[in-house]
Amino acid sequence: MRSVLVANRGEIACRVLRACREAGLRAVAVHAEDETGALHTELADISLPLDGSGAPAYLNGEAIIAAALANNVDAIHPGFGFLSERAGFAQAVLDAGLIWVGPSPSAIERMGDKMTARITMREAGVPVIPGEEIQIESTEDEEADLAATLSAVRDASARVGFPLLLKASAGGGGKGMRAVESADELDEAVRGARREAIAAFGDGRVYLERLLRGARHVEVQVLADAHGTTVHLGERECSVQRRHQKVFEEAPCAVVDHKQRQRMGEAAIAAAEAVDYVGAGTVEFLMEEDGTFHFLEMNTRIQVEHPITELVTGVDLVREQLRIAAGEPMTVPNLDMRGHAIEVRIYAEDAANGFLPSIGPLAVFRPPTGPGLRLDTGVREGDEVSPSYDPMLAKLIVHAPSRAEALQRMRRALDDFVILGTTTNVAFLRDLCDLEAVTSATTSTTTLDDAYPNGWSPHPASEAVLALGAVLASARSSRPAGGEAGPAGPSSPFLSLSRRYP
Amino acid sequence: MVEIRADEAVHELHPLPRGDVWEVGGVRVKQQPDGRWSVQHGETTLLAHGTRIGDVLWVHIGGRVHRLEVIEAGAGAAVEEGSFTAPMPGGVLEVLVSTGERVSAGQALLVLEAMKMEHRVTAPYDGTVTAVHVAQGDRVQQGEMLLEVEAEEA
Repeated sequence: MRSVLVANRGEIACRVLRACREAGLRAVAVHAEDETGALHTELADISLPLDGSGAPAYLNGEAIIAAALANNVDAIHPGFGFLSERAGFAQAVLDAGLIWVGPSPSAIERMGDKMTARITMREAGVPVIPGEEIQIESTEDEEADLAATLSAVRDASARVGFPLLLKASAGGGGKGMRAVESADELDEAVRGARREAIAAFGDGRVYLERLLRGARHVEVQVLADAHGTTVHLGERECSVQRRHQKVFEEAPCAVVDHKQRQRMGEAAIAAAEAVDYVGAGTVEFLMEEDGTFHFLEMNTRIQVEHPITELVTGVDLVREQLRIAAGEPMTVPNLDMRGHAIEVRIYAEDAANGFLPSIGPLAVFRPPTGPGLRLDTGVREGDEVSPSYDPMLAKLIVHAPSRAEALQRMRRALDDFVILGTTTNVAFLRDLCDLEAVTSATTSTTTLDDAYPNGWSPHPASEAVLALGAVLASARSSRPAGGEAGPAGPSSPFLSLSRRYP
Repeated sequence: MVEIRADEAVHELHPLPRGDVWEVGGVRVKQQPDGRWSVQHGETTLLAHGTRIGDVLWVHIGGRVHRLEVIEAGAGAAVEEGSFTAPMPGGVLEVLVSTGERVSAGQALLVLEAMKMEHRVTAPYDGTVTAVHVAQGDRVQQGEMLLEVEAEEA
């Protein structure tokens, strides 16, 4: 294996391309027509153009394999999202004679379909969340399928009990998922979840799970090589979620002791071995207050929050992925978790307005620096945040000897993070660091809903803020207008940057 | 005089240039050689980042970012009260109300789809739907008018 194509974009493409170069491999990027010159293309030895713009370009597996074959590529790394959990794509990569940096297509398939995964885990003795799979005979007629699903869900809901979670079997990342408080909300939830799941995954099958309130989301990183070794690398806690998407993650989990870690680690290894897993993967659990844990799902790929595990274990997970894909044994020492790591996800979104995605120029993008900080970013100053892609811009990760110090470091780092031109969630993340549930390590998956029942509001503008605003407004109008676009023109970041930002 | 909107309120400010320093009320503002601004208010001096993009002013000071809007003299209110605009580009999945319908606060008015997620637009107050500008299946741009709701007289 000498050359690896990274079938992705944004920060994870940057992360993997750097790992390839560090491993002495030729790093090959791909880019859509609207991403010529994106950060990830410049980190590669070569970047191959894909037809089309936006996500569809990165989802065209056939074109990506053809580009790989035409450019002497030996292996394809899918990153996360896009094609990473599509068994059909993994199979096509293998059929083309290329190396797939990931688990077998059959492992992806059995874990990717959440209903199949639940059944597989039950058989492997891994505890799953109490619930029920909705098995209906699928027809070509969506109306008939919907009616059959509605009736089966109504029956099953009586056995599962309310509140419950309705989830798409093909789902993930909160898509096709609905919390249902009572029976009268059930029908609308089923319609919405099915519609969203069909749009996103082309598969509207759903299942029910009991809604475990107050539980923590705790997941275990596993690594398995082709020589029969499967290890776990400890846990991450990712309870702090908005719209079922993680925003704040930490390792280790503050309430998991050595014994509990061992129990969960063994369950995670059993889960991986049940599908003959090879590569890096994550087994997600919901953990109740008394330590009881239930299998939620397994992500058969590298995960967004993998850096916190890397910082506390000293293991380069992407490098191990490459090693394992090349058929070598992993080089992971005995588990020794050091200190505490926290990651926050920097999103282009408006936390004060239902976390709606925002767009705009990154006129100023100044990440913090200093000891114990890591920034995994897919953007840099001058880039434009487009509505065509996922709004996650970057991940800010800190590492410190203790949890309290890690939180202090994160507060400082977020204070120093300057992003102007596009609304981001940085101020929201900064407020999270001061939430009682976060400082006392009593977070659960409902922490954000409990903390902000009426939504989050930014800090009001002070006199100093208004004064600088007034100067910015006046300084520009008193300047000769050197061919600037009027207010109606496109908002180029360089209008403001022309003012000698180094 | 400049008018600036911050946190829904409009502030009237009078920045005065004094050499290379601006005085705004009791605040002194001076640009640094690297483009940042020193902002002095009483005993406190903070280094700030600021930029203007169109009518939007971005200020980062004391670890916090603020988005302000310049209100240009003579410009009318950009969006009329009671109207709902698309918060992002996307598709209209479902229109749940029709013209003339009475709605109550928190009621879902329509469902938008963007980035494969559903977002519902809800009524912030009790009122009556006076106009619906979109239909199921329409593509909408950010800022496009979706519908209008007249608030109920208290």
